Amino acid sequence: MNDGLLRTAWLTGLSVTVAGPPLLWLATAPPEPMWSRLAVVSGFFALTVLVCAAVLPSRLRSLNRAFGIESVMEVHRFFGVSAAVLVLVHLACVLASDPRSIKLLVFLSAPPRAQAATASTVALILLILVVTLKARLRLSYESWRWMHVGLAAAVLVFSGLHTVWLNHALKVPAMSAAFLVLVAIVVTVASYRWLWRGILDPSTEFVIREVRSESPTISTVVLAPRGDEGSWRFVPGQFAWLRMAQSPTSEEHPFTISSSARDEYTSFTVRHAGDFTRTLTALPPGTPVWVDGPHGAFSGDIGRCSGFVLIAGGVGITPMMSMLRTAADRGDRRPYRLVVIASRPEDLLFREELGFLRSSLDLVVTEVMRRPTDDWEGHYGDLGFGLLSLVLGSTEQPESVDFFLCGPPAMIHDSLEVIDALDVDPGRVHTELFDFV
Amino acid sequence: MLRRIPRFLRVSILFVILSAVTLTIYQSWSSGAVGTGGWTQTQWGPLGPADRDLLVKVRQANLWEGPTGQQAAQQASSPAVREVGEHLGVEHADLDVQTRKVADQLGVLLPTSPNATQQAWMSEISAATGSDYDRIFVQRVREAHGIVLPLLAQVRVSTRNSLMREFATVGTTFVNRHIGYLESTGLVDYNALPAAPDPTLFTFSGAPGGQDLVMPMLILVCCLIAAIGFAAAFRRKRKQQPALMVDPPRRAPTQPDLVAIPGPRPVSADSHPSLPLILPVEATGPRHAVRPRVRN
Repeated sequence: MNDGLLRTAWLTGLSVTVAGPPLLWLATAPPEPMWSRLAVVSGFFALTVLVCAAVLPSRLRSLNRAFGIESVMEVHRFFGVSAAVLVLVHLACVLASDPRSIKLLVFLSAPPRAQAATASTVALILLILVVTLKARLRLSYESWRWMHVGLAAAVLVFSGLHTVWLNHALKVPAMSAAFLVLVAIVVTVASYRWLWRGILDPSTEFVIREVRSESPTISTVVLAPRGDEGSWRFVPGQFAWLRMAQSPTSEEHPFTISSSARDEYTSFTVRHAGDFTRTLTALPPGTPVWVDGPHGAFSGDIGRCSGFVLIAGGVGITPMMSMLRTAADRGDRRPYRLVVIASRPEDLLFREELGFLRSSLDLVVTEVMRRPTDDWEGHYGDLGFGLLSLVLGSTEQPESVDFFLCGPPAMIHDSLEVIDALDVDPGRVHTELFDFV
Repeated sequence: MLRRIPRFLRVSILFVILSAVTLTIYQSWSSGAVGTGGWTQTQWGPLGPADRDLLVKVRQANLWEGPTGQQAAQQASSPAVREVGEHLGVEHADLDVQTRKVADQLGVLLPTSPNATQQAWMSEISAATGSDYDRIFVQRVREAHGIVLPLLAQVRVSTRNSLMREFATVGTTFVNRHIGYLESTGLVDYNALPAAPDPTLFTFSGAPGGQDLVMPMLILVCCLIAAIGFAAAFRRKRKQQPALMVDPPRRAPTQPDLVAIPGPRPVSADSHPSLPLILPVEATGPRHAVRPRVRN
């Protein structure tokens, strides 16, 4: 499907899911006092926003391709906070419609419908606290993730039960139909994410062909699909989650694809940052791994670009390598300007290959060293306005190039400030953060 | 484009929620069920919120006391209670016809089912058997009549609407008669009836007036403050991270920070060819040594 159409379809789907049930209630509800009606409407908004918040991070490839993982996660966070706000507004309206219902908050003596509501609200507040205090709690990523998933499941189940046991709006047939659609959405997406993609889908299984060392701290893992190769297609710049076991509960991490979209094999270039990457890069050829992907919209293939400025920090060069290798294989004549920001000269990757790619592409590579050694002859310091103007000046149409930024958050933040100072159309700036969760 | 979509979604969702709230308030307003300060003019005189509330409360009483009376006429163990049940069933059906007629004339929308408390009473009564059934039926229905009677009296003495005055008079007669029927069974436990409200305490009984809004408003404000607090805490946390999805503030390039590129090469148009350190490799480089072969 065409990317613009895909985006419109997703936006329409999300909007209908969020706004449909509350508006349907306004259209079909029997007369009731203002506060009661506001309570039902805010309750339905909270429910639909929760459903969307649960759907967004469910590894839906077409959604991630349509908007990019960062936008998807950003909207997910927005929906999560909005749901909490709406739940509190719902509670306020319930109390305002009849102050005596404050007794329903006494958990032990309350009827089941109110107990479910309290449980769901408490879980949602805990969820928001866990997310907000993530850094302060010093939780490991895995325990944070499971806490998040568990609390989210509790919020969804208890709010569903609250709606069913309350049996107020669901007495209207149109509303019970809308509620069933919401349940179907959640069940389908959860089964797809955890059951199909997590356990059953044979196309997620790959085997390791080779592990190459690029530098003492960076390795490239080359993979091939075990089954039908035709089902695996990606656009350069996309990423995938890698797991070492066929289970949705095993540890997994996202890695950017670094190989050309036309290569026979798919490679991921990874930094040895922890136990997971150390184990992954030590696996012998022939070992199976499971790949959930490709995801993301960080690609020159999505939308029209007439030229590229690629700004990479550290191992953030991997999606750029995928784009450049694919461009070389396709005989792309568009200008590519690669800016590599590194701390030390030994962090510069793929120099030899970049030199080779220059012979077949309109490619200029600018290396910027943050902490240069005495024998470093290139640029050093930060990526500034002047240097970026210089890079842009070497393209024929500087106003119509697209910017791709990948690297640590601080580097992306600084580079974005420089790019914005150049008055670039924000639609032409694409980012990929390592830490998007 | 990609960086704009979250903002687009944010704005449109906020817009939809605000529209729904506006629509809700409009619907309640146009149906006259706002419940606070909604006075409308009718040919029988001004119609106030207490008038509308009375019609709703009497309608709800009819909706549960009528069927419960009919049930008691069948299920009660004592013949006296069965007779009371029969009277209640017939007379509530009659009162309901009058209630709906008045509501129709005054343009007041009525509920179609009893409220949650009344439904709970209905299940409690249905679940009982034998003499328990008689006792619970009489006690609950007597209690409920005791709630409606003061509402009728209030409207009777203070309404500005002649049709409502008439309706309140009729209603009072019905309710007083029903209380008489129920008490004639000798099953009413007067000590278990709710005590009369303490005149010194602020209570929530009676029709919603301006005073009754104080508490809900306080609760509403507390919940809203909590909601805003949540949103604010989340925003503060995000500001520490690079704000990628919101466009960073646009600053004019006041001073190109050329100091950031104090590389050995001078920054000038002539220096373009010398920008890269990496030069093209024309020979058969090691590229294919490090890359797998290319698929055609």
